[in-house]
Amino acid sequence: MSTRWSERAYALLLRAYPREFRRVYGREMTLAFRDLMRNAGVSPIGLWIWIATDVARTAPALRAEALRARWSSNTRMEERPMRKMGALAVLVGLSQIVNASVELNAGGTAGWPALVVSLAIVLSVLLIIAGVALLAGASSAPTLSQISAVCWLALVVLVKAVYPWMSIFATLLAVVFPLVLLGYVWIGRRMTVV
Amino acid sequence: MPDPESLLPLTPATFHILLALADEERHGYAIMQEVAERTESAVKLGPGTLYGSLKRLLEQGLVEESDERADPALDDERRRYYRITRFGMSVARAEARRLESLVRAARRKKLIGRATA
Repeated sequence: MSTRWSERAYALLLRAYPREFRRVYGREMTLAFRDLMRNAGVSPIGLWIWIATDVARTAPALRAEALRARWSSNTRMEERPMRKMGALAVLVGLSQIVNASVELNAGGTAGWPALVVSLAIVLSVLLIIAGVALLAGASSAPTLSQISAVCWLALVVLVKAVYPWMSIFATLLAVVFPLVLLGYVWIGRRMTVV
Repeated sequence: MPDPESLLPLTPATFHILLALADEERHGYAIMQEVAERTESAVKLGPGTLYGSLKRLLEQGLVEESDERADPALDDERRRYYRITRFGMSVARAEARRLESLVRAARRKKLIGRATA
């Protein structure tokens, strides 16, 4: 195998490592590999076995490290969009409280509908707390946002089961905003992955 | 800076890298060569082992990058050189002392003989 093809094959093997690690050390590793090939003699099969073993032994550990870094990067979301999303969460939470209060007045304070509307008020408060956490750039903001969004989506299913006359606007808001919030947290984490 | 003892024991690869850098700064392949020569090829660091260890050593402040330059003995490609830090030297010394006390214990138990000059 020519040096060029060997380096291409090694570049493929390097893909087993995390992207950030490759970005920093990929070129240096390729240079070291080239030097090893140069000194490997006429039969580099042993070298290839050794290199493949080296990749198989070290790449999973570095991937695991990158994953741990990814999990710990919860707090490092971009600040400006984080504040905008926080303000939006507070606004949506407040509007849901107003909407739920109106529904509570219209529907009375007894039975399942009242319970569900009360639950909506509690979750709106949770959404406002998540929004404030996003505004403040708190480390708990992504987790709070996720909990709040998932609870809201679960509530919509429950509301539709026991309270089918929930307004279209409130339904849309209760479905679309949590999805937007979940997407924002997910993208924010991906952008800060090391 | 943390206590050097808190980073012990070092992995064999890590200690070999620190030993290779103890007397002079080297680039990656030169570290691999130094380790292989010193151990008579008993220890060979692959690129993944070497750069995975170097990444951690840099993060812990035991090693730092010096500059990027070509090695006249190899080719015209510029290579990143690494050197041991003062803290890295303290950690390497602490590890050497730890291993020395282990060897002394092994001698007392007559697992190995006296070192010959």
